[in-house]
Amino acid sequence: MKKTILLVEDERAIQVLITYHLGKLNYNVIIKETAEAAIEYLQKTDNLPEIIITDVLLPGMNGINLCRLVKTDPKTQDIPVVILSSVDYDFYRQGAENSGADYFMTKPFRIKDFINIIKKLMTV
Amino acid sequence: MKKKLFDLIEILNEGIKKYDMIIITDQNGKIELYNKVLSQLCNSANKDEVLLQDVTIGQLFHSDEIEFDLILNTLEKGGEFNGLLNFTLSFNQKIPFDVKAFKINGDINKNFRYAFLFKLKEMTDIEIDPLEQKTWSKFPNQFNKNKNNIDLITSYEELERLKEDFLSSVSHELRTPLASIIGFAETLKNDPDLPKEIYKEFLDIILNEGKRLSATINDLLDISQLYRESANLQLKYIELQKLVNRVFEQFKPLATKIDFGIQLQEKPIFIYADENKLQQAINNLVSNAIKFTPEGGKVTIALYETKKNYVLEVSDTGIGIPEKDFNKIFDRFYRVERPGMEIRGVGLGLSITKKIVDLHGYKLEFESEVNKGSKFKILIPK
Repeated sequence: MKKTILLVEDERAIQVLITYHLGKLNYNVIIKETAEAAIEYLQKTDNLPEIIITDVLLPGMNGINLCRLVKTDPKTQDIPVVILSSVDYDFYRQGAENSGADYFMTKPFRIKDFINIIKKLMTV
Repeated sequence: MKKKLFDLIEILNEGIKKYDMIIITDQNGKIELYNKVLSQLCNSANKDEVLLQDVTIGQLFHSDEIEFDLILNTLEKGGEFNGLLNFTLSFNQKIPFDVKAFKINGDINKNFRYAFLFKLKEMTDIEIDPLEQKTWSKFPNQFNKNKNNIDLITSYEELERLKEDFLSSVSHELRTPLASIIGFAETLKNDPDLPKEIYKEFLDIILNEGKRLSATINDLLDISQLYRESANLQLKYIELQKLVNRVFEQFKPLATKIDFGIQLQEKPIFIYADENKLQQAINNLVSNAIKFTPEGGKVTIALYETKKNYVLEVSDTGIGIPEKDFNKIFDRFYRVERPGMEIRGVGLGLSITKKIVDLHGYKLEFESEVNKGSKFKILIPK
């Protein structure tokens, strides 16, 4: 069975970009456009994703708070979380780190760097 | 998060027009920002302005009816305070203000502020000791002089944080399309054997995101120029019909999939306005109407007059605006969020239109219903 990655992103272009590249690596990508929808999915599913990738600025709850919730729920706390941010400020990085995120990546990013991180997190 | 600093600027700009004094406090009521009127009050009361650094609003003003903490509690829960607050001058003289206060929403760190807008209570509204009146009657003139002078008593760090908030909004709006452009360009370069349809889809995304980036930059330049040169309208007599026709012709090629029409009254309407800025204001309304109206819908530009006004109306049968967002649509960076519908733009268009309409002293009205459509009217007084 294909491994699943959960992508929380409301920008269609970024959804297409990430889905295309992860698809090439044979991952199944589930897309949610809000943190709330992602939480609902994580609560209901029996097939937890291998990795969660989330944008920071989402409609409603932000990605950093989503990560905090993921990392405090025993069901999901072991899932690596990659935070994608279009803002590169210390307090965002700090917020991401405090929330327990495994990686903080700023947009725009190089595809090969992104793929390398995903591969690295998959092997951990 | 995206709107925080802009909210503040909006409150300050609007507040100065309608109120005598503005005070912004942090969530504990500690004064962060105020206009010079407060300094004036403090001087008159022999209160040292420097002390404002550590003062809460509840220490300077009091209500005869309600504890200040209760006011802050109400505001924290999202309620509004509308009531009378007194400032105590020396010799126990009181200066009463009609006050409107509300919460300004916070950012990612959950910081929020309170805005207090003060209007000096009309002299005739209250009974006053003749002796007091003498001192007090000087204030209105001094107020006007000091109204536009906003002081920041916030620390350097606080100022830096406000700047960061502003820059993060802009950063987000610029970096997001840039991420797609770079990501897809890199993909096309590295995967030359992509199937033709995917290749084309990716190229289209690059093109669209490039256009979006360019529109964002134009909007940001427009709005910063509008705020910098707010008094600089290039006014001249223009014929409104000609202007509206020009807008119609300009958008016609873009509106091929909808019924795009124009209704102009025959009698020419001449107004004294800044032609370029007004056209920009109308352009934004028409562009939005077309953008938010699905295939087969209808967009109409109409020009007519009522007893009091010339009315320029842009109506559409588009997706409409949810009622809960009615008070937000003129905020910068507001965008109608609709799942499954791809809407591009930063959300500056309506705020630019509003600013231009305000600068001219016109009125902007709208009505809207979800899935039925929207109608925007610029009311130009005769």
